[in-house]
Amino acid sequence: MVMNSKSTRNILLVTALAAVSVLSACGGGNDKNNNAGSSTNGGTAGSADKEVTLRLFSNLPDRKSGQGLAEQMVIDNYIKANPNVKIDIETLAEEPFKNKLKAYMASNESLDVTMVHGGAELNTLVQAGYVKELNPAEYEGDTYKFLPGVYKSFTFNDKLYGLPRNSDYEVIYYNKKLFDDNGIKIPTTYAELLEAGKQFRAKGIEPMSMNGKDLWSFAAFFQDLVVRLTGDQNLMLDAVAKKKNFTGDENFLAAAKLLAEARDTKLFQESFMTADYGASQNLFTQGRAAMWYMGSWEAGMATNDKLPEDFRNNVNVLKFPVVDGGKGKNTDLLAWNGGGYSLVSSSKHPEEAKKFFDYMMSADQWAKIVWDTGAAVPAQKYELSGKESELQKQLTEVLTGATSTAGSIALDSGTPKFKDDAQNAFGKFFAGGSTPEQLLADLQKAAETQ
Amino acid sequence: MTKSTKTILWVFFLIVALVQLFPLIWLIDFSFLSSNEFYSSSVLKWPSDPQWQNYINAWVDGKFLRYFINSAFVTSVTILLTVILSLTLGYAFTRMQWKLRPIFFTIILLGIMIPIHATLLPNFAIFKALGLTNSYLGLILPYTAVSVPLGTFILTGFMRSIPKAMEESAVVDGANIYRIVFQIIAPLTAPALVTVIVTTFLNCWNEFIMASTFLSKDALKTLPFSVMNFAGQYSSDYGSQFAVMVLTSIPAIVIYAIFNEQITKGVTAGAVKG
Repeated sequence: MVMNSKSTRNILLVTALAAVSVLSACGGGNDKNNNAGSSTNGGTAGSADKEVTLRLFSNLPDRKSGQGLAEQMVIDNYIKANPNVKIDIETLAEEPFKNKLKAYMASNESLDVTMVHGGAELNTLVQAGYVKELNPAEYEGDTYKFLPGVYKSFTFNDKLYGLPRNSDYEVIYYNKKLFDDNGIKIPTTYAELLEAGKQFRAKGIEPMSMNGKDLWSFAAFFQDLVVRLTGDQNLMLDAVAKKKNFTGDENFLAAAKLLAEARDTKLFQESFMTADYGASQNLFTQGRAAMWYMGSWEAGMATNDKLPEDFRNNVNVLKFPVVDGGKGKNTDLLAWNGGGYSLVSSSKHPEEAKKFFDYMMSADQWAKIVWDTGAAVPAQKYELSGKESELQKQLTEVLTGATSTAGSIALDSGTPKFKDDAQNAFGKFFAGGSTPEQLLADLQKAAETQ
Repeated sequence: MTKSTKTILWVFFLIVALVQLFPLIWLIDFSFLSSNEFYSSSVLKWPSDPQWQNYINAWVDGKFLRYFINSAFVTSVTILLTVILSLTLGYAFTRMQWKLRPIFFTIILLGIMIPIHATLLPNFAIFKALGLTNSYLGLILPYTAVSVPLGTFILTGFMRSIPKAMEESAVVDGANIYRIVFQIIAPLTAPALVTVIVTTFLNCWNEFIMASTFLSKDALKTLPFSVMNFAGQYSSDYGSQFAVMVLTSIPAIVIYAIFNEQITKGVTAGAVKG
């Protein structure tokens, strides 16, 4: 029986060993491939004809439509022009993307180019020395054609650390047919907007669709109101930076009261607090809501053949209406440059990475493609191709006609904690029905404790 | 029981069953719609023009097959390791007498209370230093580590209820310790083992945060990434995502259908005797 015990033990040991070796072979095999790849790359990065693999990290997992498609087209163009370069793209959706970028930053992962969000998030990367400083002089002139002032959320201590990929600005999309059919006037003032809301509601049509679950739209709406009241793009940004106070300021109070009016007159759809982005969009594109408060990146709606034709022919853009007695004009645009790309300091192929980065950011690549496909409005000057949809022309008009721009959305100008707390303050205001004073107190607290 | 009470009971059970099944029906229904038909006013919508394209997207763009194989591999190895470790640990904690037993038992059980996501960043740093990121092992190890405590907990409870006489007679017949654990105890704890297998399966099959942090190579990604392949920065291709989810849930449903009886038995057995 001793024999028996020994043989069983041996069998178990062998199985365990086999299992471990199989597993480590799987892991090890991949590592070997990696090493082999990078060592050949490393040795020959200088010569242009040898194989190089660049790593791009992006927040656009869907490569078949929208901005993900545009990004993929740029990459395909680059690979076609430089057959020696391979580009390894890793993509994750927004939240997982942010988490993993932090993990990459903490472990100094050797990415080559990464998507970044300007403002607080990029600032963290800059302080960790994870992204490279860029020379703004290199990006002047006709190859790039960046619009003036777009570097604001990518600049820290007067140094540039990334390039913006889009001009984002909030507008009100509206369905012209719904206004015409019901004899409702297209609003030019905030009072008219609320009035139109009441009329639509009386007819059983949702006035304005809002992605309340995502919360950030409320903050943008509030910032729009502050700017319309004061004509001062910096007031709210200053309050976030603790140079001013949310509480005890009559302008903020007036804006919060206007926001409460929108809530109390039921301007937004039924159960807007549970609607995420897709839900609010579908409500609008199915013709069940008359307006949608959203950003310029939805330019592609007019040409998206998956949407009803009736809708596509009737979608238009409205500037955020002026407030009676306010100092702001309707050309004061809540525009910012949120997303962009940065070069990573720990890149293994800095020269090749820079070459690809410059190619991507040149005006005839990302900017042109993203405009032609209607995926977004670029941060660079773009030529009208003549094939634009009516919606795109209107959006261009809003941007080129802007007399002042915010440069940054207040929610993103503080720390991530501020963003969280401020969003919750708006959530409490809309879902819990707290008072305007309470909202300002909550915002003040969020700014102070960030 | 009279006929009428029986009918009432039946109607009641049917309603409960329907409520339970509704999310699944809804999932399948909406996987045939195009994204812009979502959030219409009706709860269920007859697909006038069924979007088979969603399933083609799920298969091709969602890279379903490759991710499925990865998921199946990672999950099955994790289950195997979890079962072996929990079974042997459970045996050591219930039957063997050793000095530090209570302390180690407490330490292992503490593992139940540590949320997997709290270990994310430290694990990433350690795995990177060890070269385990971008490998199957990088997922299998943490998955096993979080599954073993619960598995041990369930199995110790169950083993205490098995009479020692069984093992005594096995020893008299000359069985060694491995034979006792794997040939006498293992079959007796089958219902509890199935519970461990199923909970481990569900945890690994659906886990995303860890996988998304540890893996960047496309060839190693697991099924939850497939859903992600249809997410844009703002809006998503819901139709294709639903198709992916239908395909992903099929294995879980099959497993549940096969082990249905043992699962219920195992859960109740663990609850009463643990």
